[in-house]
Amino acid sequence: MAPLSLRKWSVKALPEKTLVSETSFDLPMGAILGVYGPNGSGKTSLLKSISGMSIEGRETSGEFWIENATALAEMTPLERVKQILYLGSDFSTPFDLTVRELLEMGARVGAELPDRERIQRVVEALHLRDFLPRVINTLSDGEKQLVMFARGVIQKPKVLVLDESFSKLDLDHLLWIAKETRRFAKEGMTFLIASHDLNFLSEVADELLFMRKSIIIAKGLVNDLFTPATLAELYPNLALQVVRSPESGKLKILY
Amino acid sequence: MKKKYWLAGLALLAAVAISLFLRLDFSNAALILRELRLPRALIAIGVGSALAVSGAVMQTVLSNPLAEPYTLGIASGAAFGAAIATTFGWKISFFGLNAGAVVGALAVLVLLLKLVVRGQGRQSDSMILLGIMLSLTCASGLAIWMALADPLGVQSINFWLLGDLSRVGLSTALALLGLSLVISGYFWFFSRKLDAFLFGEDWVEGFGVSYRQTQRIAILLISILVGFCVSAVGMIGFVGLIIPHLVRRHLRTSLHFHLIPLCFLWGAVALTLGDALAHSVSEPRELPVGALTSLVGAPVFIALFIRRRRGEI
Repeated sequence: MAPLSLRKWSVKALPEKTLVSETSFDLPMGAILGVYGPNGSGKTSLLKSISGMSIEGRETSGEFWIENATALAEMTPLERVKQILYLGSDFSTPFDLTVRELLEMGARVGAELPDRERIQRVVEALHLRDFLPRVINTLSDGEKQLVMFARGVIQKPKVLVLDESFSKLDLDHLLWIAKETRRFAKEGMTFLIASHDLNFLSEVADELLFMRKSIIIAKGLVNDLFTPATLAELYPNLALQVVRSPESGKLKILY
Repeated sequence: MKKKYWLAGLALLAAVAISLFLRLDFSNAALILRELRLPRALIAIGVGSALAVSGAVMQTVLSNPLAEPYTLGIASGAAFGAAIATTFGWKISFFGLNAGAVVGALAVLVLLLKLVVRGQGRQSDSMILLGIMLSLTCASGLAIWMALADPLGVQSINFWLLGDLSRVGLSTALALLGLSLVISGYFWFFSRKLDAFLFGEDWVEGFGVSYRQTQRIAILLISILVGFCVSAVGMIGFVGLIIPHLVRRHLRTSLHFHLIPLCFLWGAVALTLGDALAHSVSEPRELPVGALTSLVGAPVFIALFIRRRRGEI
């Protein structure tokens, strides 16, 4: 499989503030990349810009391609969301709309008829059956995040970008989502997940990417990045310890 | 869902029947029906449907459930534009008058979007406040302009600001009804693109829909629709606010595939009934129909505003 590649990608807030500085990385398709960095390190700017979300007063440069799709910026929104879809941490609507209607809207993107089988399968996998008739505005923040994740998976972009999309989930749901995300990745979907929960990222991700002050300071397997040296580079002032979870065998961080 | 269409269709038939036959002078029935009441019923259907559909689409593309042509100043802009056009002697020309109105409506809508800080549209009520101010500005401009330039002066001012369905002939009524059908049909055909706007501007493109292009087309079509309505019958408020709200509640959905056609039908019902009331309740005097809709609509607006403030909608 051809990889997903980013080359010398920069995002500038005009007139003269660099938000992302000449970053490059490669990723195989079907991988899960965890994106981590302190507040203001440029994660959201990076993820939004590669997803083609235009923000006024921002200028991007560099190259980004997904398999053989280049020049995402010149695509129509419909062509683009088949390649990459960005989801954030919250969404709301001033109108009444049920969960079922939202999921069907997701399934209809780029398709004449919604793929009801896929909706069914995702709804079963994420235990959302009871949510279907509910009005979105009556859901809690965490429930909304589950629904938004379901919509993203149903919409079936090649790359799904989840920017803090699990920030309101409880531990049980978080671990559940980690497991389901890995399953969707096995079916070929690629995930870029930004989160402030390093231990969740070590659970879900194949690879991690650390950002600090607009640049990527490290990218690699969890085992290679959860080392005292790399963590010190990320947080010079913090004394962090690394332990191995007896449950999953993954490395976790103690503070 | 089928039942809801039947209900709306029957309501429209009943409303038209009431409008045609209420307090009809049967000694001259044929003449009155042909020359007065039929064009009136048709223009009420055309304008009512157009205003309700414009309101529904505006609420969606501006992500603001309180948006509608009247409260946001689009109708005043159209009236101002049309009034200026009439005094330049374009009254004889159907196109000159309508062009003035459409340009006026479009100018206000574009100005409003420039004034509202991007990203604040849904959360803040500043859009409504700015719209009402723009509306007052245009209405005052219109009043002064007419007082200076129009020999009929105050009488014309009343027509523009309060609306009047009695001046319209059969051909204009049919033309407006046709326009409303075509533009509503267009919105219906692209109802999925409008659906993508339901979660606010940031999420439109995630559904594969171009934000700018879709919004621009919608704004242009709404300006055309409102411009033609206002130049034919003056300003009629709140149909575009109340009908979409009632229809959403009745349908229990905000998706546009059913919202657009049912707003079309119920908007037609509302204005046909409103106008029937206006022309027959105190015959031979006429009540200004725009005043009637505002009398009902403004309190509903207040109720919706308070509920929105409380976070209920």
